[in-house]
Amino acid sequence: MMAFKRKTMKWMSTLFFVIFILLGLMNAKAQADNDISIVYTRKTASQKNKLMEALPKRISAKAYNIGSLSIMDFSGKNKALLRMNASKMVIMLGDAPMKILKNAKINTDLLVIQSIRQTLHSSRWTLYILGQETALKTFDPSLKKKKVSKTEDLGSEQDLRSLTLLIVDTQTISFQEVISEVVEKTLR
Amino acid sequence: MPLKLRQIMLVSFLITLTFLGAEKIGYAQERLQVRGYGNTHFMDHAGTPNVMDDPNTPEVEDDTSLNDGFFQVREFSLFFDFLITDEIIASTEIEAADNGNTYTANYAYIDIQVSDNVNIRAGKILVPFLSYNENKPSFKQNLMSQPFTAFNIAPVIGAPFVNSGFGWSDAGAVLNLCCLGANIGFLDLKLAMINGLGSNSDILDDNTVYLDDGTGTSVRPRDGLIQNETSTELRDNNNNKALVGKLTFKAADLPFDMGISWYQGKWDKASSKNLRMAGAHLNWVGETWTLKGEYVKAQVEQNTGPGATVSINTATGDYNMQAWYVEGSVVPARYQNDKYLRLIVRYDDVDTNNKVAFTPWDRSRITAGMEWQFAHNTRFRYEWQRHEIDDFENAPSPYKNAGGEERIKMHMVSLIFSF
Repeated sequence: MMAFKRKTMKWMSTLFFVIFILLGLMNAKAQADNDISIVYTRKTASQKNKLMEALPKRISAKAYNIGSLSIMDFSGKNKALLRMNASKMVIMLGDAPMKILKNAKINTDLLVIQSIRQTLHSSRWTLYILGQETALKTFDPSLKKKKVSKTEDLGSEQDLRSLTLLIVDTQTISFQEVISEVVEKTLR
Repeated sequence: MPLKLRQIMLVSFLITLTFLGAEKIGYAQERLQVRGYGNTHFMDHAGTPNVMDDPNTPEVEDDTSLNDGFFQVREFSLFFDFLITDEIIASTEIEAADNGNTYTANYAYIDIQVSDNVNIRAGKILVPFLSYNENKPSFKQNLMSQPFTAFNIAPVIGAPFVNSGFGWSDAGAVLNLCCLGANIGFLDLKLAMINGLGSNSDILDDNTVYLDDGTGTSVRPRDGLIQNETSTELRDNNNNKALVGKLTFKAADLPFDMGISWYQGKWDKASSKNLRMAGAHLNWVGETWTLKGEYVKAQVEQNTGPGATVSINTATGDYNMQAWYVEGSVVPARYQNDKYLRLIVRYDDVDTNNKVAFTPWDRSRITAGMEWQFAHNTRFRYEWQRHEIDDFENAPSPYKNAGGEERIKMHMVSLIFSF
């Protein structure tokens, strides 16, 4: 093994000390990020408000009105996506975000609420949460699905992460309750 | 401690750090977004005057004759966005232009989101004036050629004459009040302070070319503001800072937005001459139909006389510039999810000086085009143009002798990609 000179060791120690400080700073910043990003439009604004109220208080959420993103400049949507991907989970409310952000890269867990458009997929996990009245003919029948009428039916985190479709009996339980429970169980 | 043991401990420490660092690099990659686009095209004009190199600086190639068809790599851009914190993003666009011979940061700024509705941007910014400048990449537009509003007045793209640094960008800061009144739509207000457009001579439109008319007559083409961006490349040319404002309304449930823009600044070294611009824009960008339009008028204060070597170069004193365009497109065929064929037509008009008897930039133009997205995010475009120069009976003989005609025609084919 080669011997290290004192000067080299001093230089390397300083370099690694600086890198350590920088990495520490980056880590500290990561803790300031939001847990969840919710993407909505004017039509789903009340749904977004109810969901924000239903989420456990310890979970931080940031909402993006998709209609406003294109005003900024041509890169507005991509900058919003960058922020969304820095959160732990993204929730899309309704059809419009799926249409407007079509083919965008989502690198974090994705919940799609009341939309059967399969135009956005997470590289990690995508779960469609739909009402029982929704026609599912656009989905591959082999995809794993489950029907729930109460939160107890949801099962464990492992059960949920094995699903692609979650069908909600909205006569007995609200979407907000189900989403909140799914978030509670699966947020990483 | 024996030397060998110290070495083993140090190497172990470095390996641990390397593993930790690799994890952090992965984390940093999640926060870095890289995108990009590029295009290359072939264009061929007929009816433009031939120009020659400046005899005083023959080493600088000013020979920008367009009648010989040519290929160009106009843009190859990489966008980098880095999320520093959830509220702060650093962004830049690095562009290889001039057939890949120059690299320019078209913008380089930091965005600070103060609250949901307030954002501050500082650095080299895209000037928030009209719609085209903040949506300039070719993959965001239907045609490769730019409208006169974004060529002669708002100096967005100087191609084919100036072939680098696309986008009207300038050093300064923007305060953005966004997304107010979210029921029927959004109001978005941008207020910017920038170094501003200027000239280092006594004349604002001081661009000069040498016509290849047999005698090499020098003329000012009066091509608008395309050369006035460079006067503040590093530092402002005067102590006045220009103010820019843009108010946009975007409908909540329709693919429609419209807005007004305003610019005011002093352009000369003594900070005594005003340049004012006002404009309006509208966009309907549906999946099948699009309709876009811009109007802009500029008022320039300028002394009469300086730079008058021959009568056609006499500075006119105060003058106005004006341009507008309307562009429509339709997608008649769509197949395999994201492949389509689009047909486009645009009409635009410009006058870069309302006081002179003749300027070649007092003209109207019709453009017809076709865009075919034949693969994911990859497009082929063809466009044909017919320009008609107004008041051609007043054109000086050097212009005609150099081959300048009343009607100019142009064909262009382009290949565009984005990722």
